[in-house]
Amino acid sequence: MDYLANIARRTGGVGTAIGASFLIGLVLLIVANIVYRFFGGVIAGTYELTELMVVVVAASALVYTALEQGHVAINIIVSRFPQRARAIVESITLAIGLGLWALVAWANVGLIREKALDGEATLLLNVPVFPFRLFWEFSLIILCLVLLVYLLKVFPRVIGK
Amino acid sequence: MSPVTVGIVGFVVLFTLLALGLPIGFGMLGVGFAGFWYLVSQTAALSKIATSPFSTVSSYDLAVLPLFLLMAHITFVSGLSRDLYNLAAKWLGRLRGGLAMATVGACAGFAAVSASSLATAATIGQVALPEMKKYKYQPALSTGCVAAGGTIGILIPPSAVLIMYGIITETSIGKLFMAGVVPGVLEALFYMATIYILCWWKPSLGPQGPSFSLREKVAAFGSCGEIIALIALVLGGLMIGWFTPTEAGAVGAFGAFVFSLIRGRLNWQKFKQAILATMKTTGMVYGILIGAFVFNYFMAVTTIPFMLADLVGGLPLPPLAIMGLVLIVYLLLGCIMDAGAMILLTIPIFFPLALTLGFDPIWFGIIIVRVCEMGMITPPIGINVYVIAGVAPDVPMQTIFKGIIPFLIADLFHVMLLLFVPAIALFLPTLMS
Repeated sequence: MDYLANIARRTGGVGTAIGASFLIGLVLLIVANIVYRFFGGVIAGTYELTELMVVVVAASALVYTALEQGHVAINIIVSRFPQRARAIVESITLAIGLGLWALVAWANVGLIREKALDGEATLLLNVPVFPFRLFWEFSLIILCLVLLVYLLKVFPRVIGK
Repeated sequence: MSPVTVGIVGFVVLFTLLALGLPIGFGMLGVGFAGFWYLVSQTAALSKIATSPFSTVSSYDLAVLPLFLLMAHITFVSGLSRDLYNLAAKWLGRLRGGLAMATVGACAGFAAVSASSLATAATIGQVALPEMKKYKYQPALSTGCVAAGGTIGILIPPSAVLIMYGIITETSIGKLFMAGVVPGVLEALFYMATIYILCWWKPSLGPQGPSFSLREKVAAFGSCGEIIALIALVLGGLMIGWFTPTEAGAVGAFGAFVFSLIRGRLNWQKFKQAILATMKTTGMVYGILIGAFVFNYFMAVTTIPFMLADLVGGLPLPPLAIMGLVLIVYLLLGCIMDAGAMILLTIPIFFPLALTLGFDPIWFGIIIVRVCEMGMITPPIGINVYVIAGVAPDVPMQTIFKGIIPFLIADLFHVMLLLFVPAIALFLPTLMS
C-alpha cells in the first residue's frame, strides 16, 4: 500500500505543479491580452487558449483537493458515530467515490479515441485538443488512485485492527 | 415509476448519501448518472458523464473561479487584512463598540478581494479578536460580529457562490457581481447599526477604543492605497465593460501579486502557499460543479422543476409570499449545508419557479445568496461560528451563538428590505455598459 500511496502522492504532486504553472500562465496570457488590447491589438486565440489551459488547472486541482481530503462533505452525523461504524461508512463513501470517478474515466476513454480520430482542434489557432483530453483522463486515473489509497488506509479500521 | 417519482427517490438517495459523508459533488454526480440512466438510457448516461465533466473543466466562463481565488489567496498571505482593519479601527475605534464596527468594515473591505465567507471570517478574526480583547469587549459581541461580518464575503464581489449561480443559471456574472455591491455594503451598515444600538443600550459590551488625529486617520489610507485602487480597477473595469469577469479575475490576481511584491509582503514561500490554497479551493468548487451539471440533466428529465413551477405558480398566493416560503427552505437548508453546494443543488428546482413568478434572475441570485449567508451563522452547522471558535478557542461555542442573535435579527430586516425593494440589488447592473 505504501508503494501505491507513494505513486499517488508523487504523480499528484507533479500534476499540481503543472496545474499551478498553467494557472500562472493563464493570468499572464489574459493580462497580456488586455494590455495589448489597450494599444489596439489582440492576442489571437486567447479565449480558446484559456479554455484549454483551465482544463489543466481544474484537473490537477481536483486531484490535489482529493490528496488533501478537501472535497466538501457533511460530516456532522458521521462524526458522532463510534469509531468502527465511522470507518465502515467512510469506506463505503470512498468506494462509491472511487467507483464513480472510475466510471467517468472509463467513459472518457471512448470519447478521447473518437475525438482524436476526428482530429479535434481549436477553431482559430488549430491547437489539438487531444493532449488536454489526455491530461484530463490521466488526472481522473490519479484521482481514482488517491481514493483507492484512502480506501485501503481505512480498511484496517473496518476490520477492527 | 414516473419521472417525478424517480426524481423524488433521487433526492432521498442523495440526501442519505450526503448525510453519510459522501462529498457533495460526488453524490450529485452519482445520483444524476443513475437517475439519467434509469429515465433515459445507459448509453445516454455514459455519454453524459463522459462529455459533461470535460465541458465543465474547459469552460471559459468558469476560468473566472481560479483567477479570483488566486487574487484572494495572494492578498490573504500578504497580510492585507491587518491594513484594512487598522484603517477601519483608526476611523471608528473611538466610538462605543467602534472596534466591532471597524471589524465589520474590515470584513466588507476584505470581501472585495476575497471570494469566500470563511476566509473573510478567519482572516479578519485573527486580527480583530485580540484587539477587541485588549479593549475588554464582551466575547459574545466580538466573536458574533466577526462571524456575522465574515458572511459578507460571498455577497460583495468577487464571490465564488455568485459565480456558481451565474454559471448554472446562465446569468451574467458581471451583473451579479455589480448587484451584490449595494446589498453587501448595506449589510455591513446594518451590522454596524446593530453594534451601535447594542453598545448604546449596554456600554460595557464594547468600550471606547483609542482615538487618533485626523493626520493619522488619513495616513492609514496610504497603507491600503494599492488595494483600494485594485478593487476599484477590477470592479470599475467590469462595470464600464473593460473586462469580462474572467479578465477581471486575471487583472485582480496579477495586481495583487505585483502590489504585494512591491511592498515586500510576498516571498516564494507565501506565493507557494497562495497557489496551493487556490488549487485546493478550485478543486473543491469544480468537484461540486461537475456533479451539479450531471445532476441538473437528471432534474430536467424528471420534469420536477417545471411541475413545481406550475403547481406553486397556480397557488392562490402572491409571488412575494411564495418567494418567502422558498427563502425559508434556503434558510433551513443553510443550517446544515455549504452555501455553494446548496445553491447548486436547489437551483434546478427553484430557478424555473422564480422565473415563472416573474422575478428577476439577478435579484433572485442575490436574495438567495443573502439567505445562505444567514445559514452560515445559524446552528447547528453555522460554519462561520466554527471558524471563529477555531480562532478564539477560549470562547465557548454557545457564547458565539449568543453573540450572533442580534446580527441574525439585523439579517432578517436586511432580507426583508431586499425582498420589498429589489432596486437595491438591481440598480448598479442597469448602469453597466
